[in-house]
Amino acid sequence: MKAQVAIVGAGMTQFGKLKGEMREIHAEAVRLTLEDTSISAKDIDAMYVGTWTPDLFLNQLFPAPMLADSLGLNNIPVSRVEDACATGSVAFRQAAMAVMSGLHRLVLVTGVEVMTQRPTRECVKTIAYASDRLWEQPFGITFPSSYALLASRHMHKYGTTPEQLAAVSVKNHRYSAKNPKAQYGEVTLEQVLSSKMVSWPLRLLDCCPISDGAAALVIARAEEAKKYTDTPVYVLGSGQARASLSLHDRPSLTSIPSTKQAAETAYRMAGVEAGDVDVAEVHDCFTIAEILAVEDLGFFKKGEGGKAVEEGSTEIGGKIPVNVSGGLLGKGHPIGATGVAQMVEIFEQLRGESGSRQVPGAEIGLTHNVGGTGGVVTVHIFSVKGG
Amino acid sequence: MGAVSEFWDKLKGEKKLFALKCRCGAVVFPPQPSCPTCNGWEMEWVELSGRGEIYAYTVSNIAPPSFTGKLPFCVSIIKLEEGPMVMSIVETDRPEIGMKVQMVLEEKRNLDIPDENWRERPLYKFKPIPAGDSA
Repeated sequence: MKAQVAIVGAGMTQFGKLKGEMREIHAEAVRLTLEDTSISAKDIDAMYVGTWTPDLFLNQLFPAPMLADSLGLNNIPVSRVEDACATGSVAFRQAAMAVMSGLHRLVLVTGVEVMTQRPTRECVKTIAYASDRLWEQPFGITFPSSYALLASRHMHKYGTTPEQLAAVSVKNHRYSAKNPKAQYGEVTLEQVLSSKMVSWPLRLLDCCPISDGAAALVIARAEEAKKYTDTPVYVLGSGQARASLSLHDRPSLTSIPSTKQAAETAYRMAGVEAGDVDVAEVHDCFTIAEILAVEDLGFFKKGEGGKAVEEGSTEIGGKIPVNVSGGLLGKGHPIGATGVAQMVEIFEQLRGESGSRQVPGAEIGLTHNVGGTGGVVTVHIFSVKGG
Repeated sequence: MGAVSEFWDKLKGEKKLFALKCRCGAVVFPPQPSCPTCNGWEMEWVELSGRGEIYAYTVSNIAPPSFTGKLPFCVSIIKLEEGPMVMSIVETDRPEIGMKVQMVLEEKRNLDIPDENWRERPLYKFKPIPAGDSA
C-alpha cells in the first residue's frame, strides 16, 4: 500500500535525571526536531502531546495548552493523550489519523514525562495506579510484580532462565553505551544476576529506570513530505489493540495477545511480514517483556525468545537487531516520551544516521509500545521507501 | 449500586467469594457489570468454593507504602476450582505453581483509596491447603 503519512522531522532530549521544567524539556525536543527541517512552529496545524501523568508527578493537569504556549504555536487544536506506557505512540497514531483524514497537513507529536522530582517509592505507588483499583491494587501489586507473574509462567512452560532474562539487559545496556542520549552505560551479566531482587524473578537490572525526557516528531502528508526534508520516513502500517487490564482476566500468560493483534494489523496494512523487518524497537520495560515481544511480533517461535537473545540473534549482525537504542532498560523510560522516542530511533536508523549503533542497510523498521501489561499496545512499521 | 459493589458487601456479610453466573452459562469473576462473553446484563450470584491453585506467582520485595511493613510477600494469580482466575496474596514463604490454596478473609484492611465508605473493607487472601487435606 502507498503510504499516506510521513515523518519529516524527529528529535529527542537526553534521557535521565534532568534539570529544568517540563515545558523546557518538552521545548528542547521540539527545537531539535524542527532544526533539521524547513518547518517553523507557526507552520504547525495541530499538536498531540503524549504525557502519562504530570497530574500526579508535577501537579500539572491540562498540559497541552501550557506546552503550546511555551512553543509559540498558533491557536490550533492541541490535545493531550494518555494510555499508560503506550501514551507516546497512541498520540502518534491519533496524529497520523488526523493527517490521513485530510483534516491537517502538518502535525506535531510530542511525548514528555518528568518523573525524578518524586522519590522512587512514590513513583512505585503512582505507577501501580495503572493497574485495577479493585482487583489488583488491594494486593500490593507493582509493575515489576505484574511482569514477574508473566515471567513465572514463561519460565514454567518454556524453561526460560534468569540468565536469558539477564542477557536482554546486558545487550540493551551495551547499545545504550553507544547512545549519547541514553541514561545508562554497560552492565555485565554478573552485575545483572547479583543486583537486588525486586520481585522474583526480576532483579533491579531486569527493570527499566525512572527517567525524565522528551521526544518529538513532525508528520506530514506523504505526497508533500519532500517539501520539508530530503529523506522522509514513511508510515507503512499502524496497528493498535487491547487486552484485559488485569492479567487474571486472560486465558494465557505466556504471550501478550494485544501485541499479536496489533502486529497482525500493522503487517497487513504495510504488506510486510515479520521476516522483512530490519530493525525493531520493542517495549522492554522489563527483560521478560522483550522476550515476550520478540515472540509475539513473530520474530521467533513462542518459547524461543530467551534462547534467541542469549545466542545473539537480536544483536546487530543477528537475525533481527532489537533495541539498538538501548531500549527502555538502557536508554531510560520517561513514560509519555517512550513511544515517540522509539520512532525517533527508527527515523534515524532508516536514514543511516545512527553512528556506531547503525544497523547496516536497514530499510524497514518497527516500533512496539505497550501500555501496562498490554491493556493497550501499538505496532508501527516504517520505511524510507513508500512515498 | 451494582454487582461490583455488592460483591464486597457479600464478602463482608457472608465471608465467602461469590461470582456472577450469566444466562449464557459464563461464570464471571471478578464480577463485571455485564457478561464479557455474551454482553448480557442478566446475571445471578453463585457461591465459589474459595479453593484453587497457584497459576503464576512472584515474591515482592518492593510495594506501595501501605504494604511496605508486610514485605516480602507472595502475589499470585490463582486459578479457582470453578475456572476463573483472580489475583491475590498467598500467605506462604514457598510458593510453587500448582500449589493448592484456600481463601481466607482478612477482616479489616485499610486501603489507600479516596472513597471513605470503601476504605476499610475485608479482603480475600489465600493460604496453602496442607498436603493430604481434601477439605
